[in-house]
Amino acid sequence: MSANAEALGTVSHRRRRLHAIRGIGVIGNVAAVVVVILVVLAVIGPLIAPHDPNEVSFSATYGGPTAGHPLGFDGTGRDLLSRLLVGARSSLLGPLIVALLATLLGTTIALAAAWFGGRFDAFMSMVLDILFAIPGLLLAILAVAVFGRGLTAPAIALAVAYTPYTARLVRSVSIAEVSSPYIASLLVQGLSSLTICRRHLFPNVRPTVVAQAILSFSFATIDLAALSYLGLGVQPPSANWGLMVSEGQQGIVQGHDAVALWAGGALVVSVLAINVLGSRLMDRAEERGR
Amino acid sequence: MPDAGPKSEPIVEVAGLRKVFGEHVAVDDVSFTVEAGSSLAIVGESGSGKTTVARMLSGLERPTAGTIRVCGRDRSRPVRRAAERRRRARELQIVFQDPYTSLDPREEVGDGLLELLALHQSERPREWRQERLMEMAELVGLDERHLRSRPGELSGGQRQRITIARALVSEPRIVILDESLASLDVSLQAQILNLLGDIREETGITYILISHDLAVVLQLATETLVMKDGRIVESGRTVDVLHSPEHPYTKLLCDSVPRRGWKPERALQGAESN
Repeated sequence: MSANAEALGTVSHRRRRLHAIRGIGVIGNVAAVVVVILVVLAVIGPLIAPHDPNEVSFSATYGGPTAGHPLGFDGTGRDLLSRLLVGARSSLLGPLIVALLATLLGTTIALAAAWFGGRFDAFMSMVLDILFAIPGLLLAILAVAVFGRGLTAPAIALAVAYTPYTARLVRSVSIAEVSSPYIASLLVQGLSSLTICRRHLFPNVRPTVVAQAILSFSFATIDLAALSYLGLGVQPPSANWGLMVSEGQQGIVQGHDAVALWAGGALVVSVLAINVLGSRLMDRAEERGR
Repeated sequence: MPDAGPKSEPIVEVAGLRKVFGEHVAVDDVSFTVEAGSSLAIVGESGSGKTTVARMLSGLERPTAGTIRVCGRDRSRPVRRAAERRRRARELQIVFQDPYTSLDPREEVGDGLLELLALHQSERPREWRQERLMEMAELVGLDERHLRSRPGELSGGQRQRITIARALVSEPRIVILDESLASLDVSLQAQILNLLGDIREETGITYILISHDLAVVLQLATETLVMKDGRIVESGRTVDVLHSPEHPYTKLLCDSVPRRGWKPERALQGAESN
């Protein structure tokens, strides 16, 4: 029997190692590569941009690709590739801030509500219900009206608006975990609530938290792009993909769709890659955990 | 209940314990004492309130009324203070029924034990704790490979041995076994029963055994309490209670155990006359 158990032990250890190398499939790996490229671009985009993104050549308005300008020019005669590269940072940093903030806030609230239960839980649920009633974009527009345009105010507003979604989901998963005997055992062992939550409860709801964070990132990418499109987010002449879609709109009417297509494509690819990677990582975590 | 000397001092004293969930009275006026080094079995069908008693003893449920004293100290109310909770942990531990949900699924079981060793033996050096971990694994018949596994990679019996080892980390004076053997097959049950007996001989630990398996009760418990509908219907020395049951419910319970000369009809007749 013990020889059997040993054999089983080695097999499962080996399997775990294989998962770590390629547990997310070909598509997952492609998505991972795309995400890495996006992150690199967000960091070094301005450094590798071949031209000043705000350098205008009036003669080249909506100009097609040339030797020094592989993607051509936008409606103001600025180099499109440079603007895409420089725009990566603000287009991806904003959603990142939103996702991180919403996840931090939502998860903290959810864990506390699930842990303490009773009146605290009821109160937090009520607060979340009220927040649910406010659309994120509306709150962001309000924040812009009060604190001015830019990236920070709408990002914080969106984070607040996304918090209840994260909190509600994580709370429901946490409540199931809190009532399981392993948590009861740790309580009887005299481990502090904070330690149990940090070292045991949180790791067990982490896949849900990560999945929801990725979802928040995707939604924030779109919502922030929408705000830029409405002229409330990042302001011209800054390079930003949402803003570029907005600017490119006039070009479409005139038969020049390159700007809107490239910027819109960059947004779509980002959201898609992050979503695919997120869901693959979730699946893998699920397989490994239980 | 005044006691003469420290020798006969009960290690667990429960008086007038009551627990109400909404409208439902789960435990009603339960009183008993357990002497150090002896073992008490609480038997009864599911829903008789025996698990609720165990949960109140371990501080997981707050009694509606009544008092619980363990090692001479009151624990009728939960405490928040970390030091006091750790002290209670070193007095009494509990092993739950289901080994599949009793361990953190994302943690290697050895790490889980080390975490608790660090909590309860914080003054000892790391090497001592590491050594102690191996000792404990050996005690419950597991090796290093098992300690490096996650619960999902272990069998039910191996997991339950880990939960028993975990309950012993704080070197408690009392361990509650809440149907802890029910999910194991018979040969494994026998192994664990022997193990529990050995540990008692070595450490003088007191067991409170929550069970409906009379064979297990007979082997491990010196005293037995029979519960029905939240009340104690019979109590006394295990041999007396099981061999010459007084209460009709206890009789039914004993008659329901298959043995030589056992006739199912008798058990059924008992049920009708009850």
